Amino acid sequence: MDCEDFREHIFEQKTKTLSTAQIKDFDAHHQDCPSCRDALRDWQQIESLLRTSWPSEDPQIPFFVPPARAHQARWLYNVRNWVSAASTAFLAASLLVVVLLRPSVQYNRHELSIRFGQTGPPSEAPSAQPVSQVQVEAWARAAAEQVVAQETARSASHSVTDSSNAEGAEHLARMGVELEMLKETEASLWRQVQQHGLYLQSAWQRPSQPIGPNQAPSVIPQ
Amino acid sequence: MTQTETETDQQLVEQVLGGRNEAFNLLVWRWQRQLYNFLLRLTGDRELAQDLSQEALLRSYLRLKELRNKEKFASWLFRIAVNLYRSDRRRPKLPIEGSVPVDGLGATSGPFRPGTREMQLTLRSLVSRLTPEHREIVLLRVFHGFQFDEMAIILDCPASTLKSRLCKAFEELRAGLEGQEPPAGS
Repeated sequence: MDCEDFREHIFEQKTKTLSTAQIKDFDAHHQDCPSCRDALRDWQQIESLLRTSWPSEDPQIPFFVPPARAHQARWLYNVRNWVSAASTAFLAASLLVVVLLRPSVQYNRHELSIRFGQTGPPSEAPSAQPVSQVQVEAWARAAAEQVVAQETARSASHSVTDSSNAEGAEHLARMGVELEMLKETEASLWRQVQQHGLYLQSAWQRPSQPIGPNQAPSVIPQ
Repeated sequence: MTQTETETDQQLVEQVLGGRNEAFNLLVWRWQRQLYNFLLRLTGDRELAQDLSQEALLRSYLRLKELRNKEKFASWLFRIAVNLYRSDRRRPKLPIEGSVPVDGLGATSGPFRPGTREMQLTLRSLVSRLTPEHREIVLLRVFHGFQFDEMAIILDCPASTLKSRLCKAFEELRAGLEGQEPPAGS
């Protein structure tokens, strides 16, 4: 270690940042070099003199202290923000419920009732039931049977008053045409049901005595 | 020893950042005296030292989120103070009536030893006449015991440069003291 290194290490000597090898070199140079020995002694003197001549003193005014209210204010600020956001969300949700569900409130004979999604009383609402292919076929057959029965009655009355075979044949031909038309109507109706998913409601009159799918009209006047 | 005395600067900084502002009071209480005396010796003016200390503490509180090495709070605080001092030094000034210089004779009432008073006052005068860069490092090293890596943060300068500066400052003080009788028994 030379003198320059030694003088740099003087200031690190007390901070204990020197390695063991550096301390050993430092001590060896301190023993061998009178000039550096004087420098170390002078620096220690200067340090000591400065510390004793310039004692610390207390500040005369209290220094900055962060306001405790700042934390509270931040807390209140967060709560206010949360309440504001929550109330806005609640208002929006309420409006959405009113628009989508359309609740109706009724008070009748000490009974409060709230209904959603309708404007009138439930009894007035038409009932919508899905219609299956079997039902449609059954109703069509029932209608066909009704027509056949009417025509049979008509032909019987004609046979009493007028027994001409030509007129009877004409009736039978007309009935056959009407039956074909009914079958077409039935097929068309079912296509509409399949294509549009329609629910037949009040427009379709359910027959009073529905028949089974295998009970085709069998009474055809000859 | 209370719990607050055992808490490190890093723990207190983390508490402040976590919303417990009261923890900053402990940091102020821990460092205000050292900060004030550093600035007092640096400026030689009590009012200015108080103003700069106040400003440094306030800024450290407001910018605490910018502190990366939380265990280096003291170095960071002193760095803010040094920057404030340097800014203040660059500002043109008029002499202020009522400001109390602390470099004059009899300005302090410390525990002087007999026979050393003249040398002590000479030494203080010599420190006051050092360049600001040399004065900063002498005060940080002698009175506050900062190590070179910490002084490098405070003064924003490489440690090797600071060692060189300290050597030069020491030689200036030593040369200034030549002709003075060394104090007896020291």
